[in-house]
Amino acid sequence: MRRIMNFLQKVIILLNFKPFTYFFKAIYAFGLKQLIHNLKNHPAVHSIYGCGSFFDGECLYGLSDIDLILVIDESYTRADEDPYRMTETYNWVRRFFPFLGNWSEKAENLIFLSEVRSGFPIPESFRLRWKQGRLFHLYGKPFPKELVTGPVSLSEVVTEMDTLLRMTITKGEVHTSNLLFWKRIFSKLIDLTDTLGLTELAEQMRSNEKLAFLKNHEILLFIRKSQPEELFQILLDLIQKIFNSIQKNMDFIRVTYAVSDNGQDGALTGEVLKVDMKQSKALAQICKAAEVDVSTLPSSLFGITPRLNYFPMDKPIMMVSIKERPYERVRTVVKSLLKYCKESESLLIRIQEFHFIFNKQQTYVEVVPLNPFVFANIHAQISNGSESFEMPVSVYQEQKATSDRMFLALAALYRKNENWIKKMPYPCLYLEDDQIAYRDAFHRMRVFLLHSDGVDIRSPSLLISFLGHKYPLCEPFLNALLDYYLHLTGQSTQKRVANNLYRCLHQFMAQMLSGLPQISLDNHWKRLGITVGIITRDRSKDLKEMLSSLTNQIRAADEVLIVDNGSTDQTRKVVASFENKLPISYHFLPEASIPRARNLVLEKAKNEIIAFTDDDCMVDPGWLDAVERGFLRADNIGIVGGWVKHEPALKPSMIDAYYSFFHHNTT
Amino acid sequence: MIIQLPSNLFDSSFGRIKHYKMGFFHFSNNNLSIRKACAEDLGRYDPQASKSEDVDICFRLAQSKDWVAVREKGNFVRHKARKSFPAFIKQMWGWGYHVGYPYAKTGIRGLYLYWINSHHHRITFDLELESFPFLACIFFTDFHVAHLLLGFTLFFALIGQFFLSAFTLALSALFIWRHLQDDRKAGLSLWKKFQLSFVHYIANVVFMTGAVLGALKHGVLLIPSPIFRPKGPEEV
Repeated sequence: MRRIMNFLQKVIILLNFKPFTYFFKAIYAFGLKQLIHNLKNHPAVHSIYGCGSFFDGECLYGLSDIDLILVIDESYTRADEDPYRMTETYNWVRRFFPFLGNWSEKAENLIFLSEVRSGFPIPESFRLRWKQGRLFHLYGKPFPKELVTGPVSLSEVVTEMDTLLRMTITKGEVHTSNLLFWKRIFSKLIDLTDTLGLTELAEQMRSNEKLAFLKNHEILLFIRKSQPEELFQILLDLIQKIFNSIQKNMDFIRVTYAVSDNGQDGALTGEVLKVDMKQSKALAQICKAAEVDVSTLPSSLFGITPRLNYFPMDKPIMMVSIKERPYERVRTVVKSLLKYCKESESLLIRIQEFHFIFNKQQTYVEVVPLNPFVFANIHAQISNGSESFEMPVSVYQEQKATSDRMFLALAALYRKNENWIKKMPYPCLYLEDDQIAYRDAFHRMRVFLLHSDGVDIRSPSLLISFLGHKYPLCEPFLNALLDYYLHLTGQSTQKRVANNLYRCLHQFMAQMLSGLPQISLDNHWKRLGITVGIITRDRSKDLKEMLSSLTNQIRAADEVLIVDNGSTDQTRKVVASFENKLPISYHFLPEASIPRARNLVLEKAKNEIIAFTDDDCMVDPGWLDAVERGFLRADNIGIVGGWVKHEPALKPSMIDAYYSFFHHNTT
Repeated sequence: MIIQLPSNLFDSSFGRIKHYKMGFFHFSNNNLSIRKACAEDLGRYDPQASKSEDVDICFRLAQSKDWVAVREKGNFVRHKARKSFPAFIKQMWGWGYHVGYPYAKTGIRGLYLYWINSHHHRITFDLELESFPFLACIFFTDFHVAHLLLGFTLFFALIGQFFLSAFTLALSALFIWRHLQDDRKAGLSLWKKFQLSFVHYIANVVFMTGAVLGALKHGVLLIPSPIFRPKGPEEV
């Protein structure tokens, strides 16, 4: 199928002369109309904007030239189903009209008005195109003008240059082996140079002999093969020249943050590491395949906003340096990363003077270029190990303002989720990954302290002790938070987790990020009344084992309510034998109906939480503790479940093996 | 009730996966804790939902606007197996026969067809048509294909088309091999694996027959997936 599509694409490109172009244009317009028709059925669509050479009237038919940006209505958030359904609709229509841009590579094609209104930044590419008037309004209400104001800023232009670099790395060889792809990249680069006011440099680029192919007709370029290695190097050199010119022409501000480091980071800036298979199998494979050097960098922040959080704060960052044959090697690194690394694992990549974060996703590698203006701190850290860096004044002010808005937006988000969890519109089970939630919180605390106190703290324990001094009333909570964080990151043995930690974390973050000097929290150890509900019938032996396992709970039951559903065996005696060990209340329901027996438990229970289990089960010591922790996460949690492990019989049969393997979560 | 019909097919990473319209979760009664206010709001347990009251209350929670369910880490209960073969068969039949009621009670109509890959137990194809005169919820896997092919084998043999019969038999062997991959992973000796597969097969047949007949009683066409190995907490 792909071969047929490629062949058709080539035929269409080679037929780019009249009257065929009229025909192709009609097909493009029809595809676009169909897409908008399908998308506007979604109530979440606020507006649709288009950009790309199709709208500029310079379309080369046969290559994707329509890029759509969907603005999502304010009443929808990322947690809602509708944006995902819209993406599905887009991909469905794209099956029939493959010239529409592929969305899987571009997260910035969805703009959530709710996020923008609350203070999260609009993607730079949208801002730049909007300011340059390159966005075409296709459907819906116009985008609120007041959200994008002012002239084109330096950070917007350099971020767009970053996008060009990213595209050369992420696009497949089908594209990069074609000179037409490079013409588009270099033409955009020259336009951006003009936008920056560096006309002399732009002229030099236009007259550059190596870029003479830019003057050729696009169809001719499509037929000609490119030399990606050489062109990639030219691109790097030209962008470096542009960056040097900016450095000469701009006003810079020197920023120095105090660094708090407990010396356990193992910072070996510049020193090449010998990575063997025992240390990191994935990294060793990458080194072997791409012939690159690996060094470490102390845990650092990327930029001065809380936007990029790819590396854990308590570990040094692994940096892969590529010097020669950058194009070939960077592609090998991407392939090896896809093959050997775990999902969401990240590496810092240095290609000559350029830096990137490579993050492994399920099917692709996300590439985040780090330009030397917005990410001046990481450049200073890498080049001379310095904590002091220079940033263009305009970029610094812009980034500071972005951070301030983002802190307030994050505070609002934490406050919203303090006692309420968003329900998905379709049936689903909610399970937040604690590791991500707590890692994000620690990163946000770190960036916030950088802004509010001018100190970069690189260790979780130092961060917590700093916050403990700043907010003395919260010290017990902060210590409990650190214990859990260390447990989550595998740095300490399992301890009993403070059960109300999750909600307290939300309260703490909401107040801290709002800039409140005093923070008041709930108790991080809280108690909810729990009644254990057991329905039993003629299983006195099993019930005895069940009740004896219930006596070992680290968080004891407040009430054990047993409903005897018409037993004729020793059940009553077994229950009586536990009456001095457990707060038992016994009820007899002669009618054999489990739902009615459960309703009787609901009716008679003295507490707000009823933990049901069966008489043929045995509970783990941490069971009720986990149940309580689950309900304390939010007030709208109605049901808390868990896992069912297998309890082997004394003489296991094949039925036992079957249950253990096919019905229970672990053996 | 331990079998999680389609729910063991879903990862629970929030917001990252597609949410299917019949992708209801449910927790087993073995380990289900409920807030009293939530139970009252949902209308308590349904006395008619005999042996599937846990499925029913979870479905109702999934359909409610206000309440959310979570699976909490560290929340473990150990459960014993049935001790005799007749008790085991009775349990499988009970689970299957009564699971149709909560599906019928959702009031949802439509044709929901899901193809489940036996390899990673995830839905790889779906068809969701909401305008349909009744509820037809079909979770199709290699198990069903193998049985269809075995049916064809028998049919061709009966009409004397022995070549076609051998062909469909060979094809069904391929699907049976794929379906048995969970059993193959059990880490048992060959004989034990064979025994496990036999018990697994009986359980599937009893459970599915029960589910189809039980659901038809309520005007629902429900073809459940076979019983897969559920994920453990370390795999989620």
